[in-house]
Amino acid sequence: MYSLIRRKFASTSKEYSASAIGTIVKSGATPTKVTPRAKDMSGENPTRVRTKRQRQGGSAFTDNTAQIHVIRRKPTKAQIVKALEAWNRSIARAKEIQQFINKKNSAEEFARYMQQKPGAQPDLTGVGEKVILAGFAAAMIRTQILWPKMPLNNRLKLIEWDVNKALKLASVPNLFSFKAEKMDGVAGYFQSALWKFGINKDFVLSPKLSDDVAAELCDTGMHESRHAEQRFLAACYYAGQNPKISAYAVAQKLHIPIAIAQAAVAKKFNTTTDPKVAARGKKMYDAFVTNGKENQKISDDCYSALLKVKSAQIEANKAKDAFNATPTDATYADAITKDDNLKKANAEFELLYKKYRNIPYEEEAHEVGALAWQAFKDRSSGLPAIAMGPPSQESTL
Amino acid sequence: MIDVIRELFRFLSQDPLSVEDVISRVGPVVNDPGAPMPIELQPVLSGVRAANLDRYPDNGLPYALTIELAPGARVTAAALQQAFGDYERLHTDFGHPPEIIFYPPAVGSRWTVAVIAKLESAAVSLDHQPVTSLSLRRDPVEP
Repeated sequence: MYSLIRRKFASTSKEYSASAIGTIVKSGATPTKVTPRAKDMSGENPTRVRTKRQRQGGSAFTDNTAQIHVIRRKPTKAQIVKALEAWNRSIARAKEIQQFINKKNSAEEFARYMQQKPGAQPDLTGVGEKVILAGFAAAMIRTQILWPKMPLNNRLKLIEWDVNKALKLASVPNLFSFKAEKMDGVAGYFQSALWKFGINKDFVLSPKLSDDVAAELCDTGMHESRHAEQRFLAACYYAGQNPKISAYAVAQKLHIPIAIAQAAVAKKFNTTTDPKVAARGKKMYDAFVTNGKENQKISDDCYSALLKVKSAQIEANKAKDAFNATPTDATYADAITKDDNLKKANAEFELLYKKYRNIPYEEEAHEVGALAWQAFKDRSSGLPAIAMGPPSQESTL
Repeated sequence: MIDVIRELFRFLSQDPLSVEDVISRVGPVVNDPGAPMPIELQPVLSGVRAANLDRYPDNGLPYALTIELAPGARVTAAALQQAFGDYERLHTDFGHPPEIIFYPPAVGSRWTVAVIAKLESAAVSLDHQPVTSLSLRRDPVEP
């Protein structure tokens, strides 16, 4: 057990070796609650230190001299080592989180995800049909071969052609817009209001399409295609609710182009619709429209939490480096505070990310993306020979 | 800037309107990879630093004009609201800035134009967020 020493912070020696670590308590109106960092260090309960005035029944630090005190507790070398390890772990976890967001659908991650939901099976209808996923993966092998000889526009055209082919096979209207854009940490997106697929330009700039990048392209291509399918099914469901509804009303409700809404009205759900497809349409309508605001908030909050992880990681790194360079009371205390902040940011993100992944449209799209990734990785086991690519391009490029 | 946007809205509402008409109005072609990829234009419009034109895949008519606003020309969502009426927030994926959509009444008999604005961030009230880019989507009026 370490003895508690309370003294003025402005001590003559700030050298770490000659001092102990504790909580800085600023006098004045600030209460004397001691942060639980003592528990982090020793595993004991947080220590609550009471001033003389408190022990006498009064409130703490009612004078206004603004003196700063340190409640000291001397850590052993082993504890310092342990603290350093803990800081490194928090920082490593923050890095993992950021890397995971950029490459979120690895087969390992998908397997873990499915194990967390015993009995859960991915929906393999529509774009998720095995034949479509495997066909898309097979087409990617063709794209890999042609890639080095193709200019950027042709690479894009080939990917777009394969995405549209997959959508057509799933009876979903083709894209109205397909564009490579500079994106920060995002692989792609589907924008329903323009019926547009935006893809990260980095994908197509590389002179060679590596296996890893090709697998990521399969993932992104099918993930975003799934979003297009979901929006279309939601529109078909909504159109089926009122036989006399106009395409204009469907377009405004689902925020899609009128031409897509017209296709949804033409395919509106009725009594002959496959019950599984009808149920998916309702589920997606609920997720996009009925619970749209709540689901959007989850996505927004989750992204804010990711930004907090990034900034907390930078701060924790700085504090750790400062302690390593100058191991004093102040740098140690600061490193502990910043590590606490980072741990909280990591935990908050992980909680919100689970919620995000449980949003019905994200859950489905991640599943399908991961399965496409897996289909490409498993290509050596044989893929169905589906003509996905445009023969004219293949022969001329 | 809001006048430029209003003018584009009216321009895109007209019928007939060809891709060549839009190019003449907005700026010359930089790159045309073929539909459904947009034509990249070099905008000559004040306050616009990039422009792309999408075409309808079936008939090649102008579908959506997307303009990226120069930092000094970024109007707020509230300013667009005054010009085009109420907006609704669109669903955007994780990591993407918020987007809003306006459905102003049609000014022509053949085409309506929906105005889709990408905002800088969701940090504060959307009304006060600057618009970074705008897409003007042409939809045929239902018979």
